[in-house]
Amino acid sequence: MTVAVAGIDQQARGAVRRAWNWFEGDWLFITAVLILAAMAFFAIFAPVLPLADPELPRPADRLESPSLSHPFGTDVNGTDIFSRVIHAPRIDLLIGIMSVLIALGAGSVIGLFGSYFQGRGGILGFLTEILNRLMDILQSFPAFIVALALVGIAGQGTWNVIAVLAFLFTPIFFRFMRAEVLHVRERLFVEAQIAAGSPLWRVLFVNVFRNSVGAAVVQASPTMGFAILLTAGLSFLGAGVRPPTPEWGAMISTGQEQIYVGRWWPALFPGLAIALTVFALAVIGESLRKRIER
Amino acid sequence: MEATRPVLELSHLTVAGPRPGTVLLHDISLAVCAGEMLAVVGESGSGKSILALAVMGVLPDLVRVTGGSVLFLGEDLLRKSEAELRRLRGSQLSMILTGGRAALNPMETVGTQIRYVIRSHLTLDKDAEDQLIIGMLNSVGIPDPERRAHAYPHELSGGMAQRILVAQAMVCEPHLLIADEPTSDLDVTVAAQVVDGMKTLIDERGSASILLTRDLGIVAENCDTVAVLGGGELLEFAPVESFFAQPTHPYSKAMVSDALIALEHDAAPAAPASIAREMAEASTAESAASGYVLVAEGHYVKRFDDA
Amino acid sequence: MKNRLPRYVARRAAFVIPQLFVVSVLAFALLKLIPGDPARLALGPAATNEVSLQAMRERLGLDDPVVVQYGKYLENLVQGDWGRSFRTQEPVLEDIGRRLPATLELITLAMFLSLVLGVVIGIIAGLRPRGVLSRILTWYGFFAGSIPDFWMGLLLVFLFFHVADIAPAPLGQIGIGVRAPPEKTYLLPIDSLIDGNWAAFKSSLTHLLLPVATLVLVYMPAVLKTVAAAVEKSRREPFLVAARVHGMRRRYLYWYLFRNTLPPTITIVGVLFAFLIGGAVLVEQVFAWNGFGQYAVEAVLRKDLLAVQGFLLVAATITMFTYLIVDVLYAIADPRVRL
Repeated sequence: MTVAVAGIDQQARGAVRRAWNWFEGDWLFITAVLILAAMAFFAIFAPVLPLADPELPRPADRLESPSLSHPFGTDVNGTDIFSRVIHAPRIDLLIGIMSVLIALGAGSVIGLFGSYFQGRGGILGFLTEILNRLMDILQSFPAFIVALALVGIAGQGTWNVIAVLAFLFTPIFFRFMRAEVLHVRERLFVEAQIAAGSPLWRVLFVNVFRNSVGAAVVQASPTMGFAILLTAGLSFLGAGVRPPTPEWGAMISTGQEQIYVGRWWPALFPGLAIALTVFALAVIGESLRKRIER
Repeated sequence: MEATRPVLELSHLTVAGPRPGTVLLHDISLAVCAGEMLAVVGESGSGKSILALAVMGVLPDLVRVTGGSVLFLGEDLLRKSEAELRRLRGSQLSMILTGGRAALNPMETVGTQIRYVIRSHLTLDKDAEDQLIIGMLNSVGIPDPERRAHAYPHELSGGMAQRILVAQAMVCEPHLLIADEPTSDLDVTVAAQVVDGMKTLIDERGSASILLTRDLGIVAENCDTVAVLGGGELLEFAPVESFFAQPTHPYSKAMVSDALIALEHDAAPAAPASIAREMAEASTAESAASGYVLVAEGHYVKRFDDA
Repeated sequence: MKNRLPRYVARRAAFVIPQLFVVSVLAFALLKLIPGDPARLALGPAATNEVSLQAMRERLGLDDPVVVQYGKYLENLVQGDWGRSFRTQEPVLEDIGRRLPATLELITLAMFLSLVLGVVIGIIAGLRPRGVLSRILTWYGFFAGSIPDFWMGLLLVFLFFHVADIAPAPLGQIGIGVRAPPEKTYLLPIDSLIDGNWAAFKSSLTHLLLPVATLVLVYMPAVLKTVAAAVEKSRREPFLVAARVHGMRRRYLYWYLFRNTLPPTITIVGVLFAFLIGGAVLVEQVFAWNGFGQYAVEAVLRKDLLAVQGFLLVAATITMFTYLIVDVLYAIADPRVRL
């Protein structure tokens, strides 16, 4: 019993050490992980932290500059900016994670089918050709305006934003998947599986998919950053998340007029939070990519 | 030009690698005279390329010469400034890098790339440059040179690209040409043609040359002297006849017999190791101190433990 | 060795036509997919009387089969009849023609500056990959891509308008008290020059300062990173060692480096330009630029469908032509492409 536990313990330690060795010395990466962990912590625990109500307007406290009681000051409604900045990842991370997960799933599955049959003739080959062109053209539309137009049609709201972003991101993952599948499908083990009589769906999902999805997965992290930037942009124009829900872009939007008259705090802090989060996601993506390529 | 005066003379050249304590070349001394072709043979990693780059003064980052001298026409290149070296490189002493087409800029036509070498060293008007370029391409055996001068590297075959490199290195008529594996990616006939072309140019101009290679067939046919490099040390240095008659260092012997097997020849009667031992015993105290043994006239062998 | 460029350009350009066709189908689908009466949507708040609704229905051909509808739609598009925006009561195409130049001016200037700065700094940084400069730039490069551009704009407004008071108020392309020149090219600095209106010229240039700086600060690092990476890579290529071995003059070495960084640089600048066609809206918003992007935002927020559709068509077309130009420039810059 104790021996077994000790064994597991040792295994766990081994895994931790291996993980550590993998990233050793990469301080940029470690910083990024810490930033992201902090944001995730805020997203989960913000409601139980001893913070001011992020949505309660207090007209008497309007536009106070940063002080001990309001570390980031208060906005035009008198709500505490610090509390709002801490609460915002609940929405921003949710949108980032969900939209990317949906797009990753859709893009990689469509990419799997769309490129496995590419150039192989027949009706499937023809369909994939159309699919490919369609995806290319979808990407030639300006992403931000399309998002804005679609949200405008679908209406404001967190889940609408998620759906629209997922739709926009699908071609990104489709492309990464396509590049890999075109490569993997020519490899010997795929041919061997088919020759050995494995059913096509099995070869596709088990062999080809597993060996191709890596590049798309690595792309998830920076795309999440892109999602957060787009969300913030939409909210900045008043088209993203409905106020007074705490969201970074919307907060910058309410801070815009204050900047013109010299009140810097309502816009500064949410912007910093966005920059840090997106930065962390970009660094993590880049780090993973480099390590997988090696 | 007297054939006896060395164009290039290395003495005790030592080169250190990027990590402390690593030695890439140790105490290399050799010489090559005008009109002579010296073969430097050795496996990859033996230090051949480092030797060439050290002579040219373009060692990679963090690799540096720590001792010895490189006398070129009697002047120590190691004491020259970068600006002086720049003027010598490509005009007085040139080098053909290994890698064939990779040694050409993919973005420029080959004619332009030769032109840049000319413009870096000579002052000619454009017509004279054109004539020189076409003439060079002609003399390295490129058919239809006017048209080929406008070709990009990717439009040329490996053999053609290699000829361009020869033309580029020889355009300013250097006193010394170093060629690093000029034939490694070529098939046998093309390799022979390229080396022939190179040899003709060198002979016409009376230049000295150093050929870095693993191909002993080319060495036997073209070179005058042979230097065997292994692990950064000079293992054997000999006139070409003497080298093939009695390769003495075990490393050289292995190379020669491999080459002969490859050529499907009968094994040549190699000098027994006992000769080397005898010579070693008979050698003077001076040569013993240098670590080298004289086997025949001009034929030196590094002392080795005969197991 | 023959010049294959013209054939390449023709082949690549022919590819644009099917692309434009698909774009028109998608724009048409947009109108069809929106729930509700398309005629009512197209008219917006003006959809008050049955006469104008019926007219719009006929115009859109709502009673015809879909394919016929699309045919009519395409015919109108090709003839330059893109409908009227219910907000401005002007033809959409004219609106766009009036507001597109300001945006193009903004992003072209920003991209030009990014290109010059990115190439120069990128070559310097790429030559010393372990130097202080390139370490700082690596960090900034990561960080710049993470900054919301509109936030960067606001920071610059705070610093240079509010604190330092050296930039004009972020309220458009020209000072409020300055008499604007008559519109000819819809590019204010050029119109001012044509008019000989020195005050308007100066004012319009100073108004360009902050928005251009914003875009450069946020998007130039992408160019810089591309250049630095390409320099770092080509620096180790055998042909550069060969060039040094041949004793080539410094200017040729730099030329070789520059030539080899050009193709990836062209690509990144093109991609950024295409992105900014729509992506600069947020910066336009901060500076009340009143350009093409802001036109789209107003249209979307007010559900001005025909205007939105017009924007999407124009933006997608510009994007496609940008990519066409990028591919052609790339083929000019890299002779290996013209196969």
